[in-house]
Amino acid sequence: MKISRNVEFGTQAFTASNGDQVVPAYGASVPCLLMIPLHVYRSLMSRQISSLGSQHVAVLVANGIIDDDGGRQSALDLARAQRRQAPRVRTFTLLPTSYCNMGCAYCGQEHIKGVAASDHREAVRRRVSDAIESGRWDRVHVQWFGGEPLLAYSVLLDLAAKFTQLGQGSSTIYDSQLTTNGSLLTIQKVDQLVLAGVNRFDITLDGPARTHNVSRRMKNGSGTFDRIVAVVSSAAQTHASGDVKFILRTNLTRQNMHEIPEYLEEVARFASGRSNIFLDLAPIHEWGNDVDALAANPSDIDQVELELFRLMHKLGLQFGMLPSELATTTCVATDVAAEVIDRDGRMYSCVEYPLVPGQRDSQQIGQVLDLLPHQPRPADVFSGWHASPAVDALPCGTCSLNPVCGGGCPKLWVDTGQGCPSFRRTVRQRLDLAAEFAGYLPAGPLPNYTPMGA
Amino acid sequence: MNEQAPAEMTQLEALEDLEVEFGYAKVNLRDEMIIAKNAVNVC
Repeated sequence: MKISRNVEFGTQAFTASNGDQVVPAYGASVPCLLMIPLHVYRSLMSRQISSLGSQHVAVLVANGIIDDDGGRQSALDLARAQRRQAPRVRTFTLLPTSYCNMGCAYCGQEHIKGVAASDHREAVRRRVSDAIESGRWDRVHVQWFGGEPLLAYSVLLDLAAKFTQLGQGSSTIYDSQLTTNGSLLTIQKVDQLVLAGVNRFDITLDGPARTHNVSRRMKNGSGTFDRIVAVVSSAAQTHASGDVKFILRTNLTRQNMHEIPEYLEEVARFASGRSNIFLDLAPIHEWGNDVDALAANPSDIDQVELELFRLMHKLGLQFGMLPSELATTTCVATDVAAEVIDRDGRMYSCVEYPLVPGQRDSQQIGQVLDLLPHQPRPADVFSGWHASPAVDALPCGTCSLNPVCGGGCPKLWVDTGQGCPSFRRTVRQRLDLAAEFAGYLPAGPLPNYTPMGA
Repeated sequence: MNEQAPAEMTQLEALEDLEVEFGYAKVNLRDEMIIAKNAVNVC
């Protein structure tokens, strides 16, 4: 019996409403956040687990705080075992067009006019349809991506209608999400897209209106903030009772990160208390282009993120600080049951390749016309990467958060040697914040301890 | 009918009772898998 390799504790003790002293503990192998009594924390730190009663042990084992296997399983072994039991999900990231009507400074894509040709479209239709009808998958998921996918709206609806129809007569769940700049979204289109199986809209706003309208301007120079906000606000109300989510994504740069409080105040006017609108703040990184002048220092981002979590909570906004589900893969790139297909039928593992000059050709792994519908995507360096020996050589091999992270971004590991998400660096501070947001009062710092898997 | 379900529920409820009795409390993470597990650029 020992402390799990997959546990992290906050930095402080807290006082509960009944006066008890407690400590936040995150069992990443479950995953869950459990407030544990301070005396239990002290017993764990002094390695006196056996002095705790059997009831305490039962609770701690069930929540992933201590192991009952004698610590034989490594963090990576555990994560791999869990992934083998995960639902079978087949994912297609589809780019119905390579064009975009925006010209954002940090974007590394090259946009080319035109939509998917009919023969490529048919091949994609056959491929996704086969997955839905085959019975091999519990869920088939399409991510509509671009360029700006709504520039190929008729192509998207044409394909989605078929997939939705097949999904309705199948034991396989079909659903989809749309990543859009929001400029062409209307309330009517949201309604149509929901009927066409879209249950998640990822829409980017890059700061307060005055900033967004400059950094994410249309190619004709006009601003889009007010229009996007009006559509999301209305659509979120219309679909409040359904399972439709609206994610407002903000790409953090050195320029906009100090304006985000102003942005959050603006967003709170329509999103506060809305359970189907979520905020997602994410730092930009190189995307086949040089973003040195725009990318913020990771340690600055870490600090800003923590401050913004506090503000978002105060404003009644929905956001995530730590994963609440196990990561079955890191992303589509590592998942051999996932693939990216561009408008010309070119197949890739990673969404960051199809529209980047040079990588568009060098990183192509196949052509949809050359594959039978049931054939898996051709392998590349990222295939199964999260479960490969390559990960053992990285910090991921012993990382406490591997079960919920899965190994970060493989492309970043390969390109830059650093692929950890920011929650790896600030997990303990995030646990403190989660406790505070749940109503616990800070009661002083905890003695230093050595995390099991940091 | 899954005859194991009631027994599993009883186990879960017993665990939750234990948690409350011995001073533990769950905190909702509210993540819903929206945070970026990796750093993919989204435009």
